[in-house]
Amino acid sequence: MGQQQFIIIGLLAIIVGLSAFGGLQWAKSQNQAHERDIIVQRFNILVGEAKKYAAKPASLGGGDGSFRGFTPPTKLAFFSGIKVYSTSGDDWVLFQGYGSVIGSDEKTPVLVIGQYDKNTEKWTTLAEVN
Amino acid sequence: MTVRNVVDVENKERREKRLVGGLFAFCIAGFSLIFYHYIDVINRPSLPEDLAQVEQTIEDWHTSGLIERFDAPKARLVVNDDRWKSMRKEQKLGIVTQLARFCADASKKESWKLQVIESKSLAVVGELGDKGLVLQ
Repeated sequence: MGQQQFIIIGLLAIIVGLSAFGGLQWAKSQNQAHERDIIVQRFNILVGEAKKYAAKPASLGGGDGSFRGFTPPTKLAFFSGIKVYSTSGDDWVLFQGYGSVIGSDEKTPVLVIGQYDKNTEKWTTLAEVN
Repeated sequence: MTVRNVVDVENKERREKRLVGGLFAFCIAGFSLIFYHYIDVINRPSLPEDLAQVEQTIEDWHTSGLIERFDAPKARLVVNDDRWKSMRKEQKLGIVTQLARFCADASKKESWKLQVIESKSLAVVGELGDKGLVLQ
């Protein structure tokens, strides 16, 4: 076998290694994207809960037209590895959602942040942080 | 015994050289992607979910020069202008939200609040307050 054939075999071995690394990274990113989708789905459910809260009068424990004071139900906010923390103002509610799989920083779980505006009925912020 | 002529041998060598060149370029591209991935990972600020670990993260940001001062009771964060501007929007949103939650937890308050101020320009570049999460 000539020297050139040895070089070809060596380079092919490196490419196999690189492909394995690339495949692993791709699988990881798919897993992370899936988890982020679940978090966003959960945000949408919680926005529904926040709207219900705002629609209730204060005498019935609601927000009387405001999101302020909304606390998401624990069974919805902390469920199958997903943890959603929230804070709210009169016409907005902010969610910070952590997943169970490690995110792009390779240290901490995937993280999505979403802020919903009551007046426009839209997400003013929906950011995949990690 | 097989007989090969010079043209065949030259063609074969040329093909092998081209193959080696192609494989080599592929390897360089692969290693470049790994390097880019590594740089992206080390430059990405980590935001631990557990608030007990946030203090260590703040220390790390101090050491790296991103944060100049952090006052949890006043919910105020003073950042290095250049480092803050060089960060991606998602990263800034993550930092503001996480530190606001940390401040609320430290001062036992319901609502999250934080103001981010640049150290040189003294401009408020990010805020989580009555108007919600706002980045300049």
